Amino acid sequence: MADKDTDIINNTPDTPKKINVALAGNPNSGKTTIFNNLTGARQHVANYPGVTVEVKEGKRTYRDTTIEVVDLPGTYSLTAYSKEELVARNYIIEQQPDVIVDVIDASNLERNLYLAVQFMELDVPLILVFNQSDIAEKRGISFDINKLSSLLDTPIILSVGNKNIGTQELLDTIVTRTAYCREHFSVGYGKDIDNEIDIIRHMLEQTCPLEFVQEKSKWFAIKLIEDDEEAVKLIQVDPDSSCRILEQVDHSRTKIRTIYGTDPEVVIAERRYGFISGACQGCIQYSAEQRHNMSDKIDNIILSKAFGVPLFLVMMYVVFWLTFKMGTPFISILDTFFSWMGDTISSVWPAGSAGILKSLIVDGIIGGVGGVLTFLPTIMLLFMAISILEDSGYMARAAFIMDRTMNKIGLHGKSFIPLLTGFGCSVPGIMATRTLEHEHDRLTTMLVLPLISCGARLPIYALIIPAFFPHHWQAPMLWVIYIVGILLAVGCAKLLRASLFRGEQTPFVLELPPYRVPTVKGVLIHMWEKGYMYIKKAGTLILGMSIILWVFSTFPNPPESRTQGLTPAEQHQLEMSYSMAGRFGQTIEPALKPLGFDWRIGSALVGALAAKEVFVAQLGIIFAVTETDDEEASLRTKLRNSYSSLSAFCIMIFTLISAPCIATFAVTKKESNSWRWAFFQFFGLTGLAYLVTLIVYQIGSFVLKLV
Amino acid sequence: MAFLEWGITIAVVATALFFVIRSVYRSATGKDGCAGCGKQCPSRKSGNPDKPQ
Repeated sequence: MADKDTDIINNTPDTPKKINVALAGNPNSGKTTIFNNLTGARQHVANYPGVTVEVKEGKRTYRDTTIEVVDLPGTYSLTAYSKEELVARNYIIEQQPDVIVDVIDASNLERNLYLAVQFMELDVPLILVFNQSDIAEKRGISFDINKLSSLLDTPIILSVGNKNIGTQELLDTIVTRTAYCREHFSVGYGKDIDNEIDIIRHMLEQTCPLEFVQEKSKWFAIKLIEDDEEAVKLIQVDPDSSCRILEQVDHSRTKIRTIYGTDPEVVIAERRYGFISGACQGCIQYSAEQRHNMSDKIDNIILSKAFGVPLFLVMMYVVFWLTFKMGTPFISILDTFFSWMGDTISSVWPAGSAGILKSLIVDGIIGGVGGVLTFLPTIMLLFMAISILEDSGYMARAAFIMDRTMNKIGLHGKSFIPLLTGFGCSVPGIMATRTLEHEHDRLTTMLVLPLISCGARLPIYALIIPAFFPHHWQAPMLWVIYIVGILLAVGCAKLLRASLFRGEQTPFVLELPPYRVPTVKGVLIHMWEKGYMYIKKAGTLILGMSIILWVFSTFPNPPESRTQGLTPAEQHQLEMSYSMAGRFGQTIEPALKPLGFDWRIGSALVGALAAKEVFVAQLGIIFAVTETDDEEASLRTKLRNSYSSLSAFCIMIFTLISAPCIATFAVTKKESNSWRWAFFQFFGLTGLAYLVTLIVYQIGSFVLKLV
Repeated sequence: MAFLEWGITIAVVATALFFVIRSVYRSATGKDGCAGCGKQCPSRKSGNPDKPQ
């Protein structure tokens, strides 16, 4: 057969004359048969240095190329638990073969792919051989090889080792080196573990003197988090750096264990299986063999075409309902507390003072920061619910369900992850678009991402919805706002993909980790992290902005001649309209009137450019400064007395769609590397917000008149 | 008393103005992460070699 092979014309001029191939795979995957098929009789057995594990070597000549094959010991993973695994792993890292052929038992695919995923993580040139494909077929398993190969970005060859089927194709693939040049591969381990991996990887790159550790820094970081003894030993060659690295590893492992309630290596293994499960979904069909495990049973319902999307929408509704239902009593307590604080300071303030400092503290700081902090329970509860969904494994399924919809509208399925991140904050969401390989996919996702309602907008909804809508309408109203954001993002993405960013889409794998019960500690940590960020923001940027906005809402004062003879309420109204914020608001009021907004909303919208929560702070300041007749009334009551429900709905729509905050603008510029796209996003979204709000308000007013 | 009140108010406002400008500038230039969490994202810290920009 070898003579026949040499007759084939070699049409790849850059093919080297010698290729080293490492043959790997699980025990009993038919590796030896493939090895024999590849090398014929020319083989010998050797002991790997230092251990008694046998390694077979063989060679053959094919298309003028000498192929040297090393048959590595059969292993299930690359974790250094056994001598076999250690030999296989060290050979690959130290000898750096030109290509690794991973022989996979096709009738037991998901378990065998675990090793393949670890090779992929090592970023080594890889070919997958699905051996015993005839047995798989007899068991009723069918493969969409092209799709799976494209998802894994790795060539896959179907073979039947004992009938020598697939050997020719395997040899062709081995000598055609370009077939296995894969881009960097990465399994998503979830943001908590990924963050820790990044930190350790960064430390390895900066301080570890071993070149191959630096080259494979991510892989070594994962191994260290997995508590791999060999990786730890390697790091210890340099005592100076290893001390700090291992300290960090210990810290990371403790953190992961606290969040997930189990060892990091277990979570990492689950995520790898999740990746495999996601890749196999839709590529492998089981007609005869029924899948039995609990995750699969739940997935049959949750991922079904009929129930997937409705269940996702119901799940979102439940989250918002719980957020309001459970949050309302806490919000009332905080609201009462800040009102009491303002009243107490006012009552103990020494008589005869200028009152300017009192106004700064009561109207500016308590009215602004207190107004924002009142909604802390809503933020924490929403993120607690999202954390439960994430940790249980449902969010990964939601991404899978949305992938179908995403593809239909022309958006890359991978875009769902950054969009999901956008529910928290647009900035990390935009940064997460880096996972999208193609510029058009990235820019489309980046530009529409601010339409996904971020956590900073939640206080605006939490202020307005209970003020204007009856109790039973509150959760549906919040749900509607979020859905409007998602639909607009989808619509805009479709528009952009059909006009500015036309192009093909690349396939990808969405991980489907097994379902697990979230740990209380893990959920509380995530909830506290979000709550802490919110408090920190309220105590820094929002505090500063509140003070500045108070200055704008208080100065300049009108001349005394104009305030004479006015009632205190009229006097305050005049002072406010005379202030910088008042004047500015009145200047832009004609443009906002058709949307149902007055100058107070206008000035708050401008303040919201710094951070969306400032909208609430600014309203708190304006109403605290202007209202004197009803000091006891909450901001919600004051708003209800000033605006209609339709105007309130329009305020939410406008703040949802309009220009993102300054940080989002900046990160869009940075990530797109273009001022053009940052300004396009800024003005495009503001224009869209104006248009949509105008339509909603005008149609709404017309309908209400008829009613 | 009025002088002291005005003095404190001006000092507070000036400090707030300084910190807001600093915070917005650092956010806009990516030196201080985002206003969302105030932290620099780890992916940015490490230069995210996984996915080239």
